[in-house]
Amino acid sequence: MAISRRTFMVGAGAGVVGLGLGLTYLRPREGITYPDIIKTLAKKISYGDWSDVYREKWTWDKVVKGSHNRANCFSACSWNLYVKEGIVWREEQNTIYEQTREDVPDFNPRGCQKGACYSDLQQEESRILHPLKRIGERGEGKWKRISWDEAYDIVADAVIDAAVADGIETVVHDNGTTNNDYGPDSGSEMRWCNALGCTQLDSWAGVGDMPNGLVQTWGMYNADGTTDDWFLSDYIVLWVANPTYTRIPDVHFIHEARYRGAQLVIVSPDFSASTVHADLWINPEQETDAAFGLAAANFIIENKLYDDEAVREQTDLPFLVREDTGRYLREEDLNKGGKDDLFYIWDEARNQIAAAPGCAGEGGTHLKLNGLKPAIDGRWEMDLVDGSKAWVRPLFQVMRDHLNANYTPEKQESTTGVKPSVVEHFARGLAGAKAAMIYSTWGACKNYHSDLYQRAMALLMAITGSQGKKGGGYRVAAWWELKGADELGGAEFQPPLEDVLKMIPKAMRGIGQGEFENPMKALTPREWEWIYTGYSNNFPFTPLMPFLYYHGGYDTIWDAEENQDPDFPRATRDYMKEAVAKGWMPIHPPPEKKVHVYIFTGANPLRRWPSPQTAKEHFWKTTDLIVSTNFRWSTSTLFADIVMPVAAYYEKYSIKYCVSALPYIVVCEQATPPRGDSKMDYEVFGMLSKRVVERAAERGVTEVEGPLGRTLDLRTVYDVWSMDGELDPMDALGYMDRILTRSPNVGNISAKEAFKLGAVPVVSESTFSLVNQTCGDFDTEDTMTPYQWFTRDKVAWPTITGRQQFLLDHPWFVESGEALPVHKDSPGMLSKYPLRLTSGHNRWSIHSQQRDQKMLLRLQRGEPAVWMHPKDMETRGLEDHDMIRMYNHHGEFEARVKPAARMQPGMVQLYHAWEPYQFKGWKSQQEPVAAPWKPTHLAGGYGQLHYRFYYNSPGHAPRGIGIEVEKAS
Amino acid sequence: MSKRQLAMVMDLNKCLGCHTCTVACKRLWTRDEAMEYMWWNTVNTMPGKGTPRDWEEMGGGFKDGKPQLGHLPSREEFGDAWKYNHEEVFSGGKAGAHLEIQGKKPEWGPNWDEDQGAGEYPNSYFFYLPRICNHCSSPACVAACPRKAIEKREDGIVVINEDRCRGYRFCMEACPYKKIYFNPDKGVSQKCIFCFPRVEQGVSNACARQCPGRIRFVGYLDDENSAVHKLVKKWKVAVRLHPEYGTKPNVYYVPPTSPMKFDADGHLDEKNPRIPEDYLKFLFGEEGLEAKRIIDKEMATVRNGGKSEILSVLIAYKWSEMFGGFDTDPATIEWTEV
Repeated sequence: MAISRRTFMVGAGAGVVGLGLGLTYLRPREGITYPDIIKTLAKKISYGDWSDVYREKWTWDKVVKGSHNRANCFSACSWNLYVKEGIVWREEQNTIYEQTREDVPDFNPRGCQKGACYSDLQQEESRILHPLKRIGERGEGKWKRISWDEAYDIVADAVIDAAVADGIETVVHDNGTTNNDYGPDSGSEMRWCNALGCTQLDSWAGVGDMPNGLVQTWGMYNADGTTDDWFLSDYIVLWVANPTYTRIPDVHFIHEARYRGAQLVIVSPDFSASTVHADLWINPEQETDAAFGLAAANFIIENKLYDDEAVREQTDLPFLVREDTGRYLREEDLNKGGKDDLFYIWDEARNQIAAAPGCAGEGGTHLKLNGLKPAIDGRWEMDLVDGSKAWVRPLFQVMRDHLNANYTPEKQESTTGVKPSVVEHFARGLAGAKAAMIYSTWGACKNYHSDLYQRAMALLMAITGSQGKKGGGYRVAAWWELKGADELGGAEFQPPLEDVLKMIPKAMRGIGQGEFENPMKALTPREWEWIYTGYSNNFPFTPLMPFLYYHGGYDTIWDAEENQDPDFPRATRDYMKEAVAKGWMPIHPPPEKKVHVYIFTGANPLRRWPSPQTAKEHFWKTTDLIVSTNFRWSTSTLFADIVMPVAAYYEKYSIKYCVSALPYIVVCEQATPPRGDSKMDYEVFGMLSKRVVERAAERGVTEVEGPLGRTLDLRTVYDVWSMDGELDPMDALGYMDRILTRSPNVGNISAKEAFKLGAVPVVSESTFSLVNQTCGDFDTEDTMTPYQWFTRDKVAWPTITGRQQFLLDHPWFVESGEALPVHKDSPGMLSKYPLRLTSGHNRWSIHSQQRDQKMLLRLQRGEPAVWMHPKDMETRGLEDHDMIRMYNHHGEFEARVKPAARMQPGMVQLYHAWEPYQFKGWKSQQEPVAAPWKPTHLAGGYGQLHYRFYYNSPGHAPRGIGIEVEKAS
Repeated sequence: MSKRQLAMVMDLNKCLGCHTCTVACKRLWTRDEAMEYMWWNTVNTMPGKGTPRDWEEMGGGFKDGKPQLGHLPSREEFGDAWKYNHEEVFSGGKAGAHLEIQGKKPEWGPNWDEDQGAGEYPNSYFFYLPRICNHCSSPACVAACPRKAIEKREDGIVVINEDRCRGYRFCMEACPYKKIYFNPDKGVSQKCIFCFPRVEQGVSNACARQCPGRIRFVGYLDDENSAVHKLVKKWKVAVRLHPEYGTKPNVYYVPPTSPMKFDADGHLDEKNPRIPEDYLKFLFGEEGLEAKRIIDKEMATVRNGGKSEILSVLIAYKWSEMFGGFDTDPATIEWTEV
């Protein structure tokens, strides 16, 4: 086994001993060494019997490595599971992580309070132990216990019925977003989807996790390295971010960075938990972050605090822009038959225009200037191909004028409420730091104009030259690839080698030279993006918001007059139609067909989708069969027709999704067998694949309409799932072993060896994948810093300009006034309701999972509670812990209220993911959320603006909702 | 008196308020039904009323060297282990029933005023204060127990001998930190045992070892190599909570810093701290203010490119070095029958 420099503290092996819970207790075996002081004490002190009761609590039968593989929690943490009498009794962090560098703290002990009591959740009343069939109305809670065979038959028949009637695309599979693991469970689900060719919902943007502003600016968005790299920052800005709630195992690096001299800055309207340990808190009015950010950029530029080299090389700011159109000067403007994606800079060295290195039309590979000196100042007249003339200027000057006109520190104050002196303090600190970083992640995508905040933040990171620095740059999140999981999971995750090889001649011009022992690395991010987009188009992926628009009944909301964006000259419907007609947005099944079968696996749509009352009124009424696999009762599972109980996390073999936060991959061994009749998800989808074939044969069905107009032969489904019988649905462990032994970045370790470690060190580079886009070199002796390929190696960014791009001259951006980064008032700001309901990932649960866990509820108010500013409460006659009604024209719900001076007046803060069944009448915080989205997120046909699976589509914006509040009657 | 003293330091500049400590403790020690309402480890948002509610006003401790009996906190003041109607919600037993606390609606809980804090926006402020039994050097509980059921072990851990305890609860009245609970089933008082079964094996306390904020240092106060010795004795940056209670706690705190204040016009006020000095003094006494001055000075030093031995220890580059030699990984322990 190829293992790095790391050494491991592997236990002597957990000795399994049979023990009763009687009064005799177990003492540690002779030979275990303790500090001397302890040995001495233990001999001298004599105890009464009472103390043995406690010693007995501190015993166990065995210790197994585990984690929370499908919790969709961003932190991957390895745990020791202490098993006693066949039950996982408690868990304690597996603390084998070592420092990557002597001068950087280690990762121990990764974990949080949720992980420390998941064993409790496995035993709670919410656990589902038997397959169930609904016998009452949907959501009525009346169930009949059925066998697995019956469950499989019902689902298989419904799938066949749907395929026969309207094609396989009318079967819709929904695994939430990253309700994925990298192990057998998700692998089996992906294989099931691929074997069928059913529609798969892409909910990355649909849950509001898509940083569209970064897609627009960079052509990618998975930006982060290891979190110990944060420790190397000198100026850490947490912006629309609350890692003290959401990144519990990682946030110590931020606090420890303060102890080596870093400044910690929070930009947030409320004094959040993450603000407690900050040096500077900046509190713009809700949803005015873009105005504040642009003002800081204005100050940096006007005071020449920017990084000149980074501006000229890494951004589109030197690109020539036409004064008459506001668009880039393109080759097609100058030459007949010229390209529309070849752009220019003014070369000060030769005093002439020159094609901008790295832009798509130039070849799009690297940014090396090779003697060019791009001007950022000046004005020139160009002879155009049509005989006319046009003045051009570098975008830098256009941006300067734009910021000076609209976003000086003085001008932003009326929008943000932030004093110009505070903007200046921030701008100087940011620009003066050796390495400044902005942490702004999934939570920062959930406002209507989040993309504008992101473009402003990206501008700050770009002009200060922060990108690609150790401890610097814009940080979102990222993943390692696990090649074995991708290879086995399905074709869309791993293009065949021959397709990759075809791309190599292109790559020869790029960074790949000299590194061809690994052909994967020979390609630039731009080329990978082409490959993945091509593959994505071969499968019936459908982004959630367009899906809900056409199939969920949500057109009734989003076509309403009140939800049209006045900054767009046309109605949302018009943009949607155009995007679909031009093939920019895929819709499966096609709008004219209805969804027959909806299978969701751990997702909780009625908790998470906007306006769940709309889903219940439409989608839930029109869909023939709704199937849920889950280990626990979620609200949505309570509204299913067939419930298939799956094993809980400590009851199966799995691999946690591989976040780049730590240079380890976390694996889980089965600690105890699945409770009741529950089965591993791996088995469930393997057996379902088999049953589809069997039922089709019994019914005499063979060929049906497949995805994207292809034909599906139902006889092949199990062969595809099982790789012609190579995979056995009963052998999840074997599948896991295949994944790991095919993954070079974990040293092709066997599952058995991996289980000894729990956290397996990453030992080598991962290849670019759908989600591994760290774009930095991995070194076992160093922290991982993202995006060094661009800044150090001068690889072109995967945008149309090849740079971090701050002008989007796509016609939709131009017509909506967002070609340049701007601030715009959100629908909530324009609402007639005076307060704004906002939210955030919370401290106490992983989305809705563990939201109803009794022990954790006792550490809260025990039920949903909002925070409000005391004055907002006073004017409404509200007192602490009153039940209040929150409402607008769209919906209403009730919850408790807590006064808190930390809240900005006007805010109503309800951290998210309470189960609707925790609210009176099951009306949740999503009821007043109409969540319109911006038509620009449908835009395509323009470099980085295109759709593929897990990239660029309309987001869900459940925050900043206009509401009023009153005491509940 | 004990020969040595185990102690803990909690760095309030690293606490996340995440309660991993609380949960780690509960899952190990207080899961029996009668112990469900107990939280030997608590974390509260400060300023706040805390756990039990208004504990700082309940009295106890020593005054002029004399033990005081204060208020006996009730189960409601601690916060009860609320029951729920999960079955009813899942099985459709009652149409439209939602998940609710059953019985009397609570008015307090162990983390009731989470993230509420104090101050006037935008000069709002709060921080987190985790607490366990302080294993005091002058324990009021020991002094108050007529049964002599409370012992200070040779390692300094204060334990209630449940064989001797008759549940009179004088200890609960006497403890000024109100960290003792009553077990109605066993008729005994119970509290944090400083994880003595772990410590005896060289394994640090669950609350400390499981803390993802890496705020807790453990060790013998007289062990000059231990972080607790350095922080408490050598550098004096970790201080006692409410030293005026007179019980000489052995849990020490590095006092909290806070973000810059705004002045009346919304500009940054670089002179006055956001957390009022009076409040820090109320909690940690004059020593607390002095400790904070040292921390502030050290932080200024590193910001200007200098080095700080104190801050390097607080960073805890090597996590296992936080525990003063109590660094055995419990997963490596094998058990054999006695």
